Amino acid sequence: MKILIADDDPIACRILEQAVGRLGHEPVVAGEGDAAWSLFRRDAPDVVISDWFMPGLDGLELCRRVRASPGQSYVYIILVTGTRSRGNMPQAMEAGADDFLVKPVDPEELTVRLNVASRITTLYRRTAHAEERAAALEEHLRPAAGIEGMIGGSEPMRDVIRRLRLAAQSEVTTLLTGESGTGKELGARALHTLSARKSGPFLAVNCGALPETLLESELFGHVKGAFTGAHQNKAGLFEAASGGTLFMDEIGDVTPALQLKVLRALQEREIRRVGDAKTAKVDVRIVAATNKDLRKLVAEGAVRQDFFYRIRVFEIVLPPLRDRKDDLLALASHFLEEMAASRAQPVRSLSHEALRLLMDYDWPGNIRELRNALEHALVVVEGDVIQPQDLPVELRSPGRRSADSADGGGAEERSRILDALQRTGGSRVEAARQLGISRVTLWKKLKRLGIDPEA
Amino acid sequence: VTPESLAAVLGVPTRARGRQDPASDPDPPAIVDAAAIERLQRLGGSDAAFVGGLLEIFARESPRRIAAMRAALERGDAAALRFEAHRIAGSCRYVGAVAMARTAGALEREARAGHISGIPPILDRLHAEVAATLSALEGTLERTRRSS
Repeated sequence: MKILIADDDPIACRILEQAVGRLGHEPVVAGEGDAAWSLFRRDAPDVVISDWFMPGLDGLELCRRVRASPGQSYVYIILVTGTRSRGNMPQAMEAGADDFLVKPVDPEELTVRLNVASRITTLYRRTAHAEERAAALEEHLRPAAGIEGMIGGSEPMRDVIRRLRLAAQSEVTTLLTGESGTGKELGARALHTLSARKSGPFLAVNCGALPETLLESELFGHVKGAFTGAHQNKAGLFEAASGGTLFMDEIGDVTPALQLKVLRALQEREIRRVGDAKTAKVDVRIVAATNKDLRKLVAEGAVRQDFFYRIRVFEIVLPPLRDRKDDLLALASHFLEEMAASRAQPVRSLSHEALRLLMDYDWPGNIRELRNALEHALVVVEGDVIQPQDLPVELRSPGRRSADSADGGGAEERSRILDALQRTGGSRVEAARQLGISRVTLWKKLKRLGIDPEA
Repeated sequence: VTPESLAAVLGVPTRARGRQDPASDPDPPAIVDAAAIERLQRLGGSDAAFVGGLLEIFARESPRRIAAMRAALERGDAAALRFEAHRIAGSCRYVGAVAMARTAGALEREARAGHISGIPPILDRLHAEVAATLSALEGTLERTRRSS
């Protein structure tokens, strides 16, 4: 250990120096308090042995300064005084001393005290090291605890979060892909919050929900008189999201003509409002998302190849819930707590059997479907524990399989949809919500399966 | 004047030390503690000059401390007197100069109590003890060296 000896008595200094040196430590000697303080800052000793009474800076003040200094490791302080009077020990301890010795310091006693000092400083160092490691580990595991509402520590989710962090460090246009209900918008929001644009706006648009002309106006804005009903100038989302992030969901639904305009906006960083002759500079980051196979759409000609490459500079695939069942319990707990808080109700738990049903299910509607299933359960549950009978019927039916799974599952899917429609009194909005799919998807499924909800 | 300072001037132990009748004790109070020198020699180990070096420092520093006390006395600076007395008492304890340590301790107590008028005779005594103490310390060191 490096030991700073501070004493204005040269005899004391010499004796302590010899004692410390013989024990294999490295002594640093100061003949007064101020010099000791300078040496302390220069040499960063492990132990300070200081006389109490010294001209200038005394031992107590030295103690206080050492304790107040922002050192990385703990410094053990032994105060030495000529007399052991009542009250000076508490005073020494209060100033930050760890030990107290009376002159003349017996070298053998000092040996014992320095052994204690060595053990304690080692212990402190190990603790500090352990804390550092724990902090590093915590930082490493932080993604597992979720970022910005992204719950889950499963390996697929950890990978997603790692990639989100990477994407957030740059300005690249990012494409989030994954099945419906996998949390693409949450991912986009997380990316925005993690990025340097976090103080800017985050705006979202569902490109699949709007007709082409309306979407164009929504994205780029319009000038007064540009079309019927354009009574005044209106900024589009590209302008409104300036300095922030624009999340374009269902990007695969954008028509090729509009894809070209979006492509220009991305490349030139400028837009032209509908009906306007002028262009305007925009500073916006695009995060796009789709649950469609864009490559296939490119092959089919529905998506321009240049647009495809421009929007998927960095792709993050959100895994389906069936591939991250390890997160299911954490997700379910999160939703149950969230829903209990919003309803001002006690938090309900899941019975073992109910949890097993959740774990066995394929979750075609992914997290959205899980949330809806739990919401359903909270409506019907009696008591504090959710039982299997409280869960939606599709989770309880034998041979539960995803409607989107490999076998196509037409009959089963039809049954699930009919069931949902029956439960909701024919409400397509509510049925879609319960199934964990969008209204558009439900509409398409109804059409494909020939189901008439009015019937 | 405290009993301790009076005893220090007279060169006798105080009652507090348990000697009711100094005349009944044939041994004069010890000037040095031989055990302290032995401890220092053990500490010095193979460094034969270690204790000798300490005594050299002691011989050099003691008159300086006493001179500083005289200056403080002239200024009527009880705090400085107390400080210097404390300092020399500490040095004395380290080298086993028990008589000087007692005298310096008495001086420190007088200064702490603000009894400036009681200090000159104690200071004189301390001054007078230096030579005898150094001689005794060197003698003890020599004997210790011979016996080891």
